[in-house]
Amino acid sequence: MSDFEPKIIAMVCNWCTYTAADLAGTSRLTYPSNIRIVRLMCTGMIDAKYILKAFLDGADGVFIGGCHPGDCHYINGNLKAVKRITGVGKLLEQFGFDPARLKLQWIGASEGPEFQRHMTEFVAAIQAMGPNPARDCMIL
Amino acid sequence: MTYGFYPGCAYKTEAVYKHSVEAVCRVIGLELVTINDWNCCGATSIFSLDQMDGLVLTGRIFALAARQKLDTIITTCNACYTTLRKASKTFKTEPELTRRVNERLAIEGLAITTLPPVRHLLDVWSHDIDEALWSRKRAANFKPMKVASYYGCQLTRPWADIDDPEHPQIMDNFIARLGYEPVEHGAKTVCCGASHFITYEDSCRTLCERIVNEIKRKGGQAISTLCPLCQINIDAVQEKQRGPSLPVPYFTQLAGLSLGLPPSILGMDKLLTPMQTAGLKF
Amino acid sequence: MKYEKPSIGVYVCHCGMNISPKVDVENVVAFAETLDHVTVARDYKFMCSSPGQEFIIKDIREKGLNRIIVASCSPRMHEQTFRKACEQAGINPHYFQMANIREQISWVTKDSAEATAKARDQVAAAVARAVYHAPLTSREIKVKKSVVVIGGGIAGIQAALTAAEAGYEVHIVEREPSIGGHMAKFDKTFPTLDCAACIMTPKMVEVAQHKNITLHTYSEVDSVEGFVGNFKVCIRHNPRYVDASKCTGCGICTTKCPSKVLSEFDQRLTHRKTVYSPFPQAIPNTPVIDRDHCIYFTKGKCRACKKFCEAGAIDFNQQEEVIEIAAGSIIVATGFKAFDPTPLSQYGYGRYPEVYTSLEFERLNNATGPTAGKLLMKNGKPPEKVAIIHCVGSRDSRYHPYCSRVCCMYSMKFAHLVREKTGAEVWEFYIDIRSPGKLYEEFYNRIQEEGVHMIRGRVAEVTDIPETKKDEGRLTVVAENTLTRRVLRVPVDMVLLGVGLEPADGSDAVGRMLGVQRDADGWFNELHAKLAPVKTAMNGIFLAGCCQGPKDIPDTVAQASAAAGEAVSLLAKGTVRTLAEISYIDPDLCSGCKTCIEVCPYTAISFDESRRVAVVNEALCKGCGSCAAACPSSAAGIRHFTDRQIMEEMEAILL
Ligand SMILES: Cc1cc2nc3c(=O)[nH]c(=O)nc-3n(C[C@H](O)[C@H](O)[C@H](O)COP(=O)(O)OP(=O)(O)OC[C@H]3O[C@@H](n4cnc5c(N)ncnc54)[C@H](O)[C@@H]3O)c2cc1C
Ligand code: SF4
Ligand code: SF4
Ligand code: FES
Repeated sequence: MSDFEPKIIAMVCNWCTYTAADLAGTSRLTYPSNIRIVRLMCTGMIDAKYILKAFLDGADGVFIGGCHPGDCHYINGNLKAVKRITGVGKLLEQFGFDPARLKLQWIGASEGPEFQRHMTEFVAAIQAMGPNPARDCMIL
Repeated sequence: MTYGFYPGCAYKTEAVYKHSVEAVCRVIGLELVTINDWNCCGATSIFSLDQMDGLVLTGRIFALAARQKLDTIITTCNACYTTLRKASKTFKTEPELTRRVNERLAIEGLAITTLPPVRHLLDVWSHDIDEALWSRKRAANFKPMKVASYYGCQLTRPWADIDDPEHPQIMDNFIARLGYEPVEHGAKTVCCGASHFITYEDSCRTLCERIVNEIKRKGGQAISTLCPLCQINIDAVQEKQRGPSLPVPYFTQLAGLSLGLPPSILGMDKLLTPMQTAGLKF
Repeated sequence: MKYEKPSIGVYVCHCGMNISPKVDVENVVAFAETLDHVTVARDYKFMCSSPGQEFIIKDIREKGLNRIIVASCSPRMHEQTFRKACEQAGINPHYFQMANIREQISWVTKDSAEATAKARDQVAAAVARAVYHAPLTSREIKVKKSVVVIGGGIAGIQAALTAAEAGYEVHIVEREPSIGGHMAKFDKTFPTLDCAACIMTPKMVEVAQHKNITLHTYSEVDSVEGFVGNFKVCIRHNPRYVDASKCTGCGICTTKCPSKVLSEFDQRLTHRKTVYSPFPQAIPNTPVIDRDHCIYFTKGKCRACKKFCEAGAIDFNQQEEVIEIAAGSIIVATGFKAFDPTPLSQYGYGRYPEVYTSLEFERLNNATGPTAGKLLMKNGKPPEKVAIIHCVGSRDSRYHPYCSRVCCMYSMKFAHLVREKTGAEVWEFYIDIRSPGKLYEEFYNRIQEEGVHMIRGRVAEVTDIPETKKDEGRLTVVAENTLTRRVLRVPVDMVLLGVGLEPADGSDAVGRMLGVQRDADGWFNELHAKLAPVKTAMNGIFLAGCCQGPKDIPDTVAQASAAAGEAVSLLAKGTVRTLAEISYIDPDLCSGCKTCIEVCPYTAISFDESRRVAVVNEALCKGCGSCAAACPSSAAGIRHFTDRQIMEEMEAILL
């Protein structure tokens, strides 16, 4: 494996995945340090432009974490997010990005170990994909 | 709309069923197109013996029906009905199995291309034929009697779509349309033992006697059936029973009588317990 | 408060040994000093301690800081603490931002250098975002000091009494002629077998007499508008055709009425008159005329009741009336409906006269019921053998997958009552006995000691086909005893079906009116299954009793008291604060496409027809951001989570 250290933006909702991240912390579950968490109130507020912006600014991966379906603090924000994020995934593909650089995952508030696992797996997956191609070909 | 007809093995031997179906269909103007070169469906036991063989047997029937462009497959036997419906469900949901079946059917140049609905003749007569036709064509000298409908296991179960699975009404309603007086009873879907009658006679005798006795208790004068296996079991069990027996005609024979067709055409004389024993005249 | 040019203070916490030494705190501080707009950067052992907070307050006052960043633990721990400190020092609490370098960095990262680098990024992100923070305020709204309770079963009664005792005005809306709900139909209640009427009637009377409670019986809620603290509830009074202000409750009208129909309260086992009170202890005791069956209404003559009513209370011209109530909070207590077992035709309900539902049995067993409490079959004789079937319609994927919770217990109550009243043999057929509750398992043991046959097996069928001649005329229950693995055929005289519970009719309409969601089975959804069992996602609307899910009377009463407690706590506070982090829609950018209106789960956005723009109702908005993400014109946004703030945060991390 290369020594490429990606930078990954994790946009997570306050109520489930952010709480799970805190729980991973209180349980001292370590994971790669490549994750940078951006706390939002709900995945339903994630605008497509946030994701595009992250990639254009050079993020190697974008992870989106929210509550399991049915658990969203705002009833169904996460379901709206699925639709939007699927659309963005297609768009990324057209731009020549590997859509696997964008990942949506439900991680409930009590799922500290799952948070750790998903972070570890996602970082490994991005490492395997190599740097964001936009880093080289764009003047930022 | 072409009604495809799948006779099934028992139908061929049960001349009374065959004759009454054909005679009544002629009178009511319903054309049944028999599936050419049809084969045994394997009956209900085949799937437990060899699923693939069962699917090939039934698959061939669907393929033949497709070749003749039939919109429906009509059966007159509970076992054929269930077996074909089960197979149809499998073909709908298991593309891999279907592919393998088609591979084998290809030897004959056949393929399952459509899966027309499988229906029981009773369902077709009840729902597709104008309700008023039966009373309009009823014979002037028709003599009503009390008829109990016996459905057996597999018309309504496990499907539960054409009627209440445990306490159906469809045959009672049909019988009433013909002019008979339906008899409410609790043995409509009690199992007759089906083909086990040959191997486990004692147990099946208990089952069949439960049905017959219940119907006698509720005042039935005849038992209407819709499946050759049910018919023979219920009819035969009474031979060794004490007391007067109840005739066990097919619903198709009862329809024929109501329409005034000659009893001999309907095979009334071939029932083990003739209709006359119950003091019935027609 | 107006926007000010940023002057930022960054405070990095050691958290004892929790953040440092893993994160090189000094390094982060030095880094922070280089960031734009940062005036001071410091570190301290425990930022959340009073001296830590004092630091911040002092710096704000002395150095004129107007943005504060604390890099320490999770905002879920101490955001409020530091916001308060900011407020105390005189800056808007929303000028504060936290960087989580403990739970999400020092505790989860192995390598110290990596942890430090990550902490620098997160601090930079917080600083970048804080530059664009705006001072936010929330409004205080006065709360109306009254509660509307929908449903007058034991849940509604208990909730109403609790709130009324606290001094608040309560309105109970009950659609039947009397309050009481299901409990009013019972004779005895498990597990103590105390008399239902004896414990229920006093409460009903108390409701009727309480100066703070207004009863709206034979009434329904027509519409609900508004929001927490300020609901507008329209209640429709259906005409009783009996003037409650004149009626003395003497009952002569009922006696003289010549028209009879099947009694709903008695589960259609007997008749009632057309002008009637459903049961003797009805509250209120003003009768109603059942218009559909009244001879006068249907045929134009009779008026016997009017002739005999000395009080002159009969009024055939009464009209329905809609009144409007202002309420600070609403309690939903619409209860349940018993499952109709007709579709399970194998049990023969409706076909065999001696097959009864549990509610029918409750009435048979009730002193005011059709047999005056004697357990008799339709032929007038007492049964010698009775079967009770559990889980009818419950724990059954064809009907209701859930356990109805009370059926095991009431079935065993029935077993006891049958044994006590008739000495008949009782056979109970169960899947599992569910007796979790105080004194419940003990009750189960007691029933077994009373000689009840407990058979573990789901009943296959109930048939009138007898096994032997001597059982002719009886019903035979067929089931497999799964413990002995034998098929049983038990001849009995009477079969009782332990039917499950399902949501009351009309719950869907109530849910839509209130904006309260229901689960897949139709029960109202609580806000949180564990921590907010009586709240709903709608602020100010609470749940009590079986409308939230099947439960027994003790749990119903407990939940009803809790719901009243929540309601009272809201009213006692007197005001509600609107959230600050909510949506705003820029009218200059809004194109009027109404996309936001569609996506808002709280119907917080309405359309201003005159300006042709969408407008947010700040009291209803919860700040989920659905509208902001969906708005194609970027007109909608969420305060404190604006596009700019989020973009800056990401840029600081990535560039
Ligand atoms: C056969 C049987 C026996 C039972 N025995 C016991 C027992 O022995 N012990 C025990 O602890 N529990 C027992 N239970 C459970 C008990 O009945 C419930 O716990 C209790 O009745 C729940 O009270 P509730 O107020 O939530 O609902 P309900 O009693 O159903 O009351 C709801 C009220 O709301 C009204 N309503 C409904 N919708 C509207 C609307 N849209 N507008 C206005 N009003 C409306 C209804 O008319 C009703 O009056 C038994 C249940 C059954 C089915
Ligand atoms: S979605 Fe945006 S543009 Fe459309 S109505 Fe709402 S605020 Fe206006
Ligand atoms: S933020 Fe959510 S609750 Fe508020 S108006 Fe927008 S969609 Fe509705
Ligand atoms: S609050 Fe977590 S996804 Fe909506």
